[in-house]
Amino acid sequence: MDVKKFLEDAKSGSIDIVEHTSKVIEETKKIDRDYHYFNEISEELAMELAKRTQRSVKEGSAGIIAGLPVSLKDAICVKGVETRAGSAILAGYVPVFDSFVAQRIKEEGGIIIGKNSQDAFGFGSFSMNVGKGMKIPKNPIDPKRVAGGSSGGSAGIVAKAGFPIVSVAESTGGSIEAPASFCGVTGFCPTYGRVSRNGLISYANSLDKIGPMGKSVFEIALILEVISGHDPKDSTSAPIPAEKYTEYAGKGANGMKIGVIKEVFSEGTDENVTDSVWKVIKKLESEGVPYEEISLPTVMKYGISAYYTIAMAEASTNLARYCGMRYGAQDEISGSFNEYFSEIRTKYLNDEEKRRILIGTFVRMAGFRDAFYLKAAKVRTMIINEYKSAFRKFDFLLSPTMPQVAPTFEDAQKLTPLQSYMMDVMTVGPNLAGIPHMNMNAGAVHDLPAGFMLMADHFREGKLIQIGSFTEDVL
Amino acid sequence: MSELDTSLVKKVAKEARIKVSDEEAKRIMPAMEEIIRHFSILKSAETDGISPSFHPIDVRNALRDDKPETPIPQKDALSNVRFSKDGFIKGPRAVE
Repeated sequence: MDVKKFLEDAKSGSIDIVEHTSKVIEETKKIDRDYHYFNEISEELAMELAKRTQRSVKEGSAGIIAGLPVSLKDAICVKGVETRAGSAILAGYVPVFDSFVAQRIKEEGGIIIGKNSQDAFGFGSFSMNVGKGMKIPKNPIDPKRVAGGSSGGSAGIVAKAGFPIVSVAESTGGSIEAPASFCGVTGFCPTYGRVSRNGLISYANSLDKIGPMGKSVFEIALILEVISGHDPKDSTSAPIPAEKYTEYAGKGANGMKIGVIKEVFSEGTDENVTDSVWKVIKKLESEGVPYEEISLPTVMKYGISAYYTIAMAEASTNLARYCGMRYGAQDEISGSFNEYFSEIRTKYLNDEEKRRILIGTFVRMAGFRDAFYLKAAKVRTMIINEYKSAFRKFDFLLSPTMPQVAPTFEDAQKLTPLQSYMMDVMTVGPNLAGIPHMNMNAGAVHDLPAGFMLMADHFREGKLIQIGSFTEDVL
Repeated sequence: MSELDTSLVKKVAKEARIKVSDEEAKRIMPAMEEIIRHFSILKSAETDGISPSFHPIDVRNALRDDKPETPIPQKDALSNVRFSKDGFIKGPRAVE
């Protein structure tokens, strides 16, 4: 049953929300045993929300997602549910407040069923950099392959579940798009500031964005409607009201023009992925959406370096707060603050967390700051300008999402850290520029999904939903 | 990238409050060096006269009204604390 039909039935009372939620929890547990999509299944909260929503249906005051199961990336705080952002250093942390998005989901009748597995703090493209003691999510189509990262659990459960479900994930440099591409689901990353970050455990403040994942563009639009809007508790939240994004679906694509980024179809991209994405472009053209090729030389040459420099610099300051005193992992206190804090951080952070902190600290240090961090911030301006210039000519840009389909765990393990960072070559650009972008499924390559990405100018989420909906209809 | 050596790795680690032995510094240095060398491509970008972007969109100071709000209760603030005394969080000694 699709989400639209489920919501109609739940609202009319023909689905018992409590009974349905109970079945969903059991099914989720079964899937999780084999695929590891959850760091925490919040059964108690889900049943409490189901009972509350069932009452609101009877009273005629149900919200727009009444009864719909929703999972959240582990980095998004939910009151009373252990929240670790995938890191062992946050073991045992139970928030005393709801994030903005968790609050909005509850207000609109959504049923929060748990916290999805992820790379620790979002540090990864494969969800293999999980915190010590946590399980790695597996690809829903082939469990010998990665689910993608860092929001691997979110994409995995959306793809695998037989029941209606949406996930709320987060992207810093591609953490929504990569797993959506590898798992064959729709993933949407909105404009920076469109969705409040209040209650999101930070990776890199100037890059973090919360966005939905679902099986269809309608589901994406619906959840975006719920979680968008201005929040005074996030100083970077845009003071622009949320739109009725679902109303953009089904409006056609009249007069729209696409720019195809030509550099991304290079020798580094699997030719089967290239073929799949070109079939989408040609299909759109045959349906009256013309395209032209465009070059984005600054994005392609400097994107990876600028992104990782800024992201690691910000991450190294954000993670300085984890010292084993106020929340998360805490050992018997001994020695001076320097000794104790260093002991805790050395013990509970994993190799990738340490690597990013060390490099992030390095690029901010006196003598290196101007050459790396400040230079990257200037290059970021050039990258934003390059996108702005492209959007003066085109409504949307299009590229593959990832250069290949999901690799096997064995192959992913062979990559050096830099080689795995290079997998993000197509996603870091839109994330640095903070523009909205969406992964959709371009088809299968040897039974594995290949994704393509549509991008639009800042705050053009509605138009992106419109072209996405049209594309979904014609493919 | 010739700037990175094991002593610099250890200095950075000390700043970041992460313990790194000489052996570990040697183990982690090649990957760090490879990454930082890749970052060095930024040096070739023509950025004269370009201002840095610390956010992707225009972000302005957002100040709320200067009125007191109710803080989280002490019980909640201590709910994740393993070691506390008399309503205070216990920490390691601050003076070496």
